[in-house]
Amino acid sequence: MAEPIRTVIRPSADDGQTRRQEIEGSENLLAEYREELADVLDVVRVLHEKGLLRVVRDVVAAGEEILEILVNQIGSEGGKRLLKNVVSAGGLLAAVDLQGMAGTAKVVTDGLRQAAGAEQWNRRPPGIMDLLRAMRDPDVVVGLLMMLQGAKVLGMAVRRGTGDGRNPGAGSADDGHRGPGSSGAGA
Amino acid sequence: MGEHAEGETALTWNGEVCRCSPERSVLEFLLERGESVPHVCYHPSLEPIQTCDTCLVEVDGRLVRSCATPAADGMRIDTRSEAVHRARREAMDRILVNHELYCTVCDNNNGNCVVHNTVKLLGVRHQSEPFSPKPYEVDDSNPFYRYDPNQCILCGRCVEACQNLQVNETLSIDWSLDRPRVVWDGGVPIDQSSCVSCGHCVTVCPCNALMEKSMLGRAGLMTGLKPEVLRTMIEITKEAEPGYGPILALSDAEEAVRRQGIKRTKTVCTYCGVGCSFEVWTKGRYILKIEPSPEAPANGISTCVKGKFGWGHINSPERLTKPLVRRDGAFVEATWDEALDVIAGRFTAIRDAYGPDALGFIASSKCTNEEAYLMQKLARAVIGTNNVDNCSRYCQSPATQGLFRTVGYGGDSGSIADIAAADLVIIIGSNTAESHPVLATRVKRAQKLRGQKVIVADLRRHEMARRADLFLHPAPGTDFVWLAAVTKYILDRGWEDAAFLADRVTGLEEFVKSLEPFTLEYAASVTGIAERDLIRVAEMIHDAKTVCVLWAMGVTQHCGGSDTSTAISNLLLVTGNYGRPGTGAYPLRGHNNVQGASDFGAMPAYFPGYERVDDPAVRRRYEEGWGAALPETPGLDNHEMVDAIHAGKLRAMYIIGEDMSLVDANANDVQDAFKKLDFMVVQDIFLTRTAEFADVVLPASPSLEKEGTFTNTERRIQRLYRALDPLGDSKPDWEIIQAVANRLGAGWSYRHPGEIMDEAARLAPLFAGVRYDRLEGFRSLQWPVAEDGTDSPLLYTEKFAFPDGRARLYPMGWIPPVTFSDEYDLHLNNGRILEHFHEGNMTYKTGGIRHKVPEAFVEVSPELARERGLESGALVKLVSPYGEVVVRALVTDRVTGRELYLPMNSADEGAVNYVTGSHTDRVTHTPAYKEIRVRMEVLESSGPPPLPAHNPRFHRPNPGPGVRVEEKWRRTDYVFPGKGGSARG
Ligand code: SF4
Ligand code: SF4
Ligand code: SF4
Ligand code: FES
Repeated sequence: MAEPIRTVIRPSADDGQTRRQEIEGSENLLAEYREELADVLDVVRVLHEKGLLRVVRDVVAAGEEILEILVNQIGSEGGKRLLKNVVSAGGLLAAVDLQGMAGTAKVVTDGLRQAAGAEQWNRRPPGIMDLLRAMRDPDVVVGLLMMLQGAKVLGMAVRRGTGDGRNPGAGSADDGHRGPGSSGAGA
Repeated sequence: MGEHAEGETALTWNGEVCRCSPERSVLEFLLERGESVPHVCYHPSLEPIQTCDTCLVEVDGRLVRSCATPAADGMRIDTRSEAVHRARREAMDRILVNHELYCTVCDNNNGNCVVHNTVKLLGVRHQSEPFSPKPYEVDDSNPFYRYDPNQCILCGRCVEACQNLQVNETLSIDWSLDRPRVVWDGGVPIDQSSCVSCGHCVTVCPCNALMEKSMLGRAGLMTGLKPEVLRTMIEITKEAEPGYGPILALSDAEEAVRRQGIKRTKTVCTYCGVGCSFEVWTKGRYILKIEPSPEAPANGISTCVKGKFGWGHINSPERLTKPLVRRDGAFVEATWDEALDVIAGRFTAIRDAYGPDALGFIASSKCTNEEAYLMQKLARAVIGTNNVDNCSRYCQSPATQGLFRTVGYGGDSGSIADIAAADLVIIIGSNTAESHPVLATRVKRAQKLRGQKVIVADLRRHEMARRADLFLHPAPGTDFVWLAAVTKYILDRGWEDAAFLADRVTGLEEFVKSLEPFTLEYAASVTGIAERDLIRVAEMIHDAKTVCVLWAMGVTQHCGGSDTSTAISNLLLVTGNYGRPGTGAYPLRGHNNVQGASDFGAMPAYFPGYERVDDPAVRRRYEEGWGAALPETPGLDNHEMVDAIHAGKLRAMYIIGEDMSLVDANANDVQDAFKKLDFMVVQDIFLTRTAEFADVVLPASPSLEKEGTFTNTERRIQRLYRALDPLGDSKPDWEIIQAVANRLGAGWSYRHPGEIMDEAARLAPLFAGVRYDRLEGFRSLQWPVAEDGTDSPLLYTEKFAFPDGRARLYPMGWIPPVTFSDEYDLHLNNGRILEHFHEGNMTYKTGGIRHKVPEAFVEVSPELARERGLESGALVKLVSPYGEVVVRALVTDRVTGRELYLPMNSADEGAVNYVTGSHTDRVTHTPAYKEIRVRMEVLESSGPPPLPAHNPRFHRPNPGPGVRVEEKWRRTDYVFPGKGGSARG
């Protein structure tokens, strides 16, 4: 006679087994992504050496607040003039190639997504650890890379001048055969 | 001009002589040739709309819209002239007056924004007239999507889709306004309109004017900013930009990066048997949206609210994520090892003590073909019993039986395309617009655009009934009688297809004799349908060159369900409506994989491909294939399993993805049975009512978390891919079944569902050519599939599926429905509604669906409401001999007189099966859900209405021919591009 029941008992966490399993899981993932993680760490090391890590960390910590300040600053008359000058001078970063950058972004985010919270990272230098925590949200990471990338493309487009009417990535606007569901032109 | 094949057109394109296939527009011809012609309002799934003017070309020296100009012999087309360029740019300029380009921070900037791509294609850098906002607020009242008039370019794609593809007829563009806009039901908030949230309009919108709310602030990298910050950013970008070039470039870069985080996975809808396929876009575990595609074989870009928006169950916090084992009156979370040990131990002990037939297995019609296959293999090869079934028993087995008897294959005899192409469609006992929404759109569209004739026979005046050219309201359970009478009338008049009968059918003489009692007078007296209407049916069939009959649970869930299904097939045979395009029998399969679960052998008498278990040659083939001795006699079906539990013969059950304690008829009796089991395993994504009776509950993964195939109502096998990883410790059902089998010593080693399909295809001739590589992406196969991969969209073109190749007319008498004592004075009909699926375990997890339909209700006719002194919102108790339900009433003229309708979508005290009985179809044991009478006690005569005022059922659509572009052209501010002057779009 089995009466219907809905009560679910979850074993108390102190047996440590779940935790152990999770750590094991993380270790497996680390092993699986060893090469990618090495690349990520390299990127992080370079950023660290150049002093960029601190900046990034602060920006991330400040989150939307800092963006708001920036936007307001640029929104002022002086800011807009500055932006215009920058845009028309076109002297922006032009060092990274687009596809390469997007690829890197994926590796970085994948790596971070997998590693987030893994105890293994505790053995790494604290600065990097902090950054990784801050960058746990893949959107933030991609956003940062995006800002760099955007600046580059903006510069490229402006330098190419506004006269030829052929914009980078311009392709067919055709959705005729693949419909709105397909990834059409837009680079 | 050179020679060309018949029907082909020869024309000149930029000086070059070209051939064009017949019935193409100039635009289609150019696109086929790979020419980049802008075309903002044209969409391949819609009729030409002609609102955008971006597709202009010169034909014989005159500027014309290429989308609406048929390619004709001798035509001279020029796409490169300066006049063409100028006119297109002008057209785009006017579009941009209605649309602000802020692509970088727009959630629609995903590479497929038509406006964005066209701006790039045309190289627009400056606007002659600036963007000018419209004086209307954003409408975000609908739970699933929002309309931003300021971004709306008035292309009218949404209107065309709503009016002529979905045919809900809600949308129009009000061209009489100073600033035209899209309006719902002529001008009410979206949530207060007749909109059924099918999503067609959102899918075809070429920009971000109509957006899924799930995308907003989530798709882009920077689209989630606070509105003020976002606004300032848009302003700054615009002010700082020297032209559109850099803005587009920046947004393209953003799109490239955002694409890295968005995963697009093809899947197949988890709900009904139409089998819509589409992409699901995810970001991490978050579901951004469902993105339909014209390539989808069953549905094209069409969806209904469930498939487009009903995915709340996937990430529901109520999902089971760990195995549960019953201990001391509670479920305790366990590891997979512990759970599998318990299962293997108990299954083995019960088999050893009572024999293999003491165990019963229920596969799920929501799971994949591969999972159904493994479930029956587990039962047969590992346990040694044929006690395996699936829930198609609850709805569809009688239809299958009717087809087995007459034509041979238990599936739809053609495709949805045949239904759309038929001259006449007869719908019996199916509320198609709600139970198979996308399939219904094909009928509604054919009727509206092409004059297809529709006959509906039903108890309720539902949408299809209202649209029908002829609506029949037979007395409950009497469809057989009018079908037989119409068939007899046709034969009596000599309207049968004599040549077809002579060449391809046997048994005519005996069949004609069996029809003798079914005179028009008799039929009219039994069914209540007027004789002239019966004659009208016969005449309409006689007048139509092609007839399809669609039927569903209104036919099957009766004691004579198999017989009525047979009568339908007989009628089609007599009139020669099989084996030609636009003809055939279409039992509409309810669940996503009702068809496949039976096809792949989860039935007590059949191996995969409908080969009998008591056929020694077949059995030998499987014994060799599986390396095990197999049981020789058919096992118990699910109805018999319940009886066997009560009789103490069945001691253990393993039930996958089926809330059997609610969806089987006479739920009280079923639940009593479950209490008596020695051991019960339930595998599901939620702790369902059925799971509450279990000893072990296994956490399974829903469709988005696994691979496999589903087979839709057209016998179409389609692949689904894994979009997300299984949540928590849950696992795809095929992995779990394999783990259980292996714990019992089976030694299976499938690494991927494709290997399971390979095995099934090797063993079952019906699927000989089914292979995963032939099903890649949106590709599909309709069984039978020959070794070389040839499939069968239309059956019986040359022979019927019997050894002699001839169909069989099957003579029968009529079985009257169950009778009840006078105390039970109301007929209780039941079935589906649009918004919810089955008992609602999945659909109630989507907030927007709950907003539209929060709870179950019973429909009461205005006459009955008056008689009993109740109004909408009254709380009533319905009592049958088997139990009772308590629900609120909804007074509506969809039902008449003493007929009630109780949707089946409740998992609590409104669950219809607490009142249904144990009568069944005499052949298949499908419960006679539709043969139930109740008495009604009014507990409260008024109360809160069960269906909120914002449910679409309360609102009146605004039918029209489409966009009415002539009204735009008549406006004083419209000037044809190239004629000079500036104008608004
Ligand atoms: S019914 Fe609603 S969701 Fe569907 S196309 Fe019409 S307006 Fe859009
Ligand atoms: S809302 Fe309709 S009319 Fe407006 S842009 Fe979208 S599809 Fe075109
Ligand atoms: S529920 Fe049916 S009609 Fe709706 S999207 Fe899914 S398969 Fe298509
Ligand atoms: S595509 Fe021809 S007018 Fe819009």
